[in-house]
Amino acid sequence: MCDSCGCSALDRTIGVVHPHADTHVHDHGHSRPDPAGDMRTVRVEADLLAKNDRIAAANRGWFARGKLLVLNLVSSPGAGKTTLLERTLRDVAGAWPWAVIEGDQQTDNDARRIAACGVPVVQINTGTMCHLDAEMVADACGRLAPARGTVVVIENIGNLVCPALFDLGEAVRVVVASVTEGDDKPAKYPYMFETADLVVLNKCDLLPYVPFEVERFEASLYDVNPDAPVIAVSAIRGDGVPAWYRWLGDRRGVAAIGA
Amino acid sequence: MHELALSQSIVDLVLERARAERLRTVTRVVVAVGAAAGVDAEALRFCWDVVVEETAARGAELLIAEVPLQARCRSCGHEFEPAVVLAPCPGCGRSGVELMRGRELRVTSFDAE
Repeated sequence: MCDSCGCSALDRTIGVVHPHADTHVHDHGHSRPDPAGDMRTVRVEADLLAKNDRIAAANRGWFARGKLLVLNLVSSPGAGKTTLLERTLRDVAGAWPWAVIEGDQQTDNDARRIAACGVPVVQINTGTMCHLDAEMVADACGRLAPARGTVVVIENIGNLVCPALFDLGEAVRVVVASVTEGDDKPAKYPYMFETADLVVLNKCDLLPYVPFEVERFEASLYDVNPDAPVIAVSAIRGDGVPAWYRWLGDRRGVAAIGA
Repeated sequence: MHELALSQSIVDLVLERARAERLRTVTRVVVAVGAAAGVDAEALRFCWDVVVEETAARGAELLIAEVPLQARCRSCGHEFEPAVVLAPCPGCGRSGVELMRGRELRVTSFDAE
């Protein structure tokens, strides 16, 4: 029983207290189903992410049929997702067909940077939302209509928390971290790092100037996700990017076979 | 703040079901939220009061039942209830454990008339 008002809200919860501000007005009564009235309890047992997961599964099927390699690129704001993408598109745009979905709360700044690389791009502005969901991606893919074998990069909202929850139907999830952040990021944001297929560690040209230790970062990542490889790069200078391109090439090969 | 989107999903799901059952007023909704679901209970509750305004669930109580973590060690197979997601295995001391339970995000039931 709740200590504040004596209601039964705590009967079946563990460690969660429902709030009782001083202004709490008890106009709803916290009543059990009234046997005399029509009040009843309806069992639901429905997964809240089921709708998103259903659309994501449909996306995944559609991507597989088109032999598309679809990447969900996630990071905190400012880790260098767009810069990595610009570098990638300039270096290997001719190798495969590309398409990009840019997610930001506001502005089409990033879409314009990608369009300047000569690649088809759709900007999604989520307004107040902190993540892309599968439905937004389905809609953007419909507009992009990527040709068979296209590498589709979804640049998610810069946020290490919420995008972890929403499957978009992607084949691979790539987390971009940077050495100007703490080297304990994987420990602090385990949900994002544990689902990563690859971690790109960016801004490595700044390593001499920052207290970031790559080994500590890798150990922190290993605790959450022992399978994710790390590729260290400087997207702005181009160090290390060939390893990233090889990884992409391998993944595109897998998508083409339909494995 | 994905809790706003999630609150909206909860109220959509409940109201759709309530309409199907010909119920007009929702007074209480029970959800199960895993300790590793990446959802903040207080934020969810805060958003709840906003999304139920002007709906048949206006003023409905949101009851959040937390589901504790259950993990299995990838190295030795030991099953345990870790206090935090990254806790090493108490059996063999290694890190790298698989979560068996604690990611739930589910509407369990609702009361309505």
